[in-house]
Amino acid sequence: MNNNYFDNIADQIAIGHNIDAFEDEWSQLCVDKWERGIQDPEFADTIVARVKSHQAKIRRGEVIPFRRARFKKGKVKVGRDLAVPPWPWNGEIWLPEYFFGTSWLVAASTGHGKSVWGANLSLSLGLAQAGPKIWQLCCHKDDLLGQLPRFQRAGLELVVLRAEDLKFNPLQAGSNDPRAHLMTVTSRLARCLYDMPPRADLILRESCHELYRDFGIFNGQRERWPTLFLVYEKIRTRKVINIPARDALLDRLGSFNERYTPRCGAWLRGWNPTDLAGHSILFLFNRAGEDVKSFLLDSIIDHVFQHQVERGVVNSSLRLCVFVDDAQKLVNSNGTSAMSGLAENVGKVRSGQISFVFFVQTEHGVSPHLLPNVNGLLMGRTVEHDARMTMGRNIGLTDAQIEWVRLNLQRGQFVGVIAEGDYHEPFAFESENVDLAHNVTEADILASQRPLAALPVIPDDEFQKWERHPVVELQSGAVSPALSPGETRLLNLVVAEPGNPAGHYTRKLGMNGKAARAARERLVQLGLLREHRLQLNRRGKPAIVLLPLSGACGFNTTSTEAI
Amino acid sequence: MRGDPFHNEILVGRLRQIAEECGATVSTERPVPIDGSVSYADLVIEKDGQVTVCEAEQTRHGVGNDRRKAVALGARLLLIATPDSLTAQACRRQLRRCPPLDAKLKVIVCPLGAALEILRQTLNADSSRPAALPPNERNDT
Repeated sequence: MNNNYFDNIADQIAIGHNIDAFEDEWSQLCVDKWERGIQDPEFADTIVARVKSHQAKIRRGEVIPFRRARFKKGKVKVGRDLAVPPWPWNGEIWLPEYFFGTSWLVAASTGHGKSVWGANLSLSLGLAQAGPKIWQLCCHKDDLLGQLPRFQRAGLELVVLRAEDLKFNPLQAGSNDPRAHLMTVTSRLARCLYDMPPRADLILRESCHELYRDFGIFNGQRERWPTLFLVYEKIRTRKVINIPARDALLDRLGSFNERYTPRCGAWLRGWNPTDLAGHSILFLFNRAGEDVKSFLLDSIIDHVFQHQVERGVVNSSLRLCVFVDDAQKLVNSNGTSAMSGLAENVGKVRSGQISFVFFVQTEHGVSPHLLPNVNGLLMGRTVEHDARMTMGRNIGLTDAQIEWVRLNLQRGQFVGVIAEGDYHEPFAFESENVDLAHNVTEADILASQRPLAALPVIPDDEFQKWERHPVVELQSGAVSPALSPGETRLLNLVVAEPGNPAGHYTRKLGMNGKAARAARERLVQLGLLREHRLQLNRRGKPAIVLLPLSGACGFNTTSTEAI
Repeated sequence: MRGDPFHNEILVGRLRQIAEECGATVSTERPVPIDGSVSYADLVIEKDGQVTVCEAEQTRHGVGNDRRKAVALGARLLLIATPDSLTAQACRRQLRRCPPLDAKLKVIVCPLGAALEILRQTLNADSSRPAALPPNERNDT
């Protein structure tokens, strides 16, 4: 035997290790003996035979081109390893909790089972000893309501919060620095109020700042906070202000407040997100408007992050794991290279003790600032070649593995790689299938919210029945006190029968000419009527025809009711 | 209809009411292409094959264009109604400054009261013969 023969056997051993060809005790013994220097031809034949046999099985599709995952020590069950035959071996993959201390990204086409895997993982993570609190954010579906009975059966607390159940005041800084909080919230709000002119943006910031000052926030008052409805009213009633900018702002803020609803936002003191972080919560925002969804998510998450950053906690254990279902829009870079607030926060998760698991359809468009901070990357099936190749290359799959993914990956099966720990090879696994169908009732949802009843809140009674006011309101208060009954009657008659000569109204009202003329001139002066001179006869002076102006119609009703 | 309520309801509205009472076919704001652009005639009244154009003017500035619209529509009579006699006089002066037309068009400018009466007489009279008009309110071109 020459050196080439020995080198060949060494190569075969390396290949065999890479494809897990030495599974039986005899082949493992042969490898062990050969590596110890006992170079028996029988050992060599066994080694070569096992490698060739396993490669042939891979080609025939009898075994998968992935190694067995070396993840057995942990308390969080991820799924069943596809590289291990289901019987008689136990192929379950278990990960330690700290693996989820950094963010994960799961990309697969719709219907692949991402939500089901997320539901299993969140329950397993919640069950882990001293496990973190779980937040599950669902923006478009409500099938995760099935998690409520599952958590309850497992003896875990889960609060279900819909957008309308929230008691959340975004201007409430809690224990965070109010100046930094105010700047963040107004910037976020300006982003939600699309295409706002720069001047309107400044008015919004200035008004919020004034309200903070009025409430004594800068002097240490922390019990009561201004609401967005109060911001709207303050801007609406301000006298000296740029009118076009104010109208542009009121248009946007008014419609936003309508979608936000007073039930959710009219709280002088609402729930503090840092208090909510002490509970496992399922957020269902499927009924909220798109802008309200993103505003609520960003506000709540950012508040918790800011709190952790201001506390200065560094690299301690995981406290909160946030599962974001259908997160494509949330993590999308929108074609820009600017770093979003979320991407920036994800970079700080270790110090924030908060991690995310994002579920998206494709990696395309995901913010490039987010991907480097993702330490767990899973891919499911997709028919799109580019998406599959990009994702496959990102997690280090070989051509054979990508081809296997294309041809063999089924619903509920994922391929992934984890940067945590000491094993970084790609692995394939299958999630346990559970039926998330539920019969959760309204009473169950309300009952699940009982743990939050102890949190202190102060409703803003002034705006509990808030309705949006028109941007341009008639200044009825300026004219109504001065109108006499005669003037009101004349105005009502002109509104009812416009375009007649002044004498027609005088006769019909039974007024004398002098009083009618005085009333008419006053109404013209107040901008409620307009006179037109019209020659209706061939001879004589032209008649004075009266027409009501736009202010007269609204004024007419109020005055009639007053009289 | 374009214009303020006084133009639409008081001036044009009353002319239209008279025309409809006389059994004429009335169209408002009819588009008239002139020199590549589109103008709109306030009232185009058709009866017995005769076309009468009525325009309501509160100033003298639009009368030249009114005349062009009437010619383009093939009208026999253009009746311009103004709120008062002073405006009517100003319109007549403006019309005199306009270049003569080849078309056979009779233009009458008068306050609304007179215009209503003239319109009623014109539409009730024999369609082949326009109503007799007082000399001071006639402005033949």
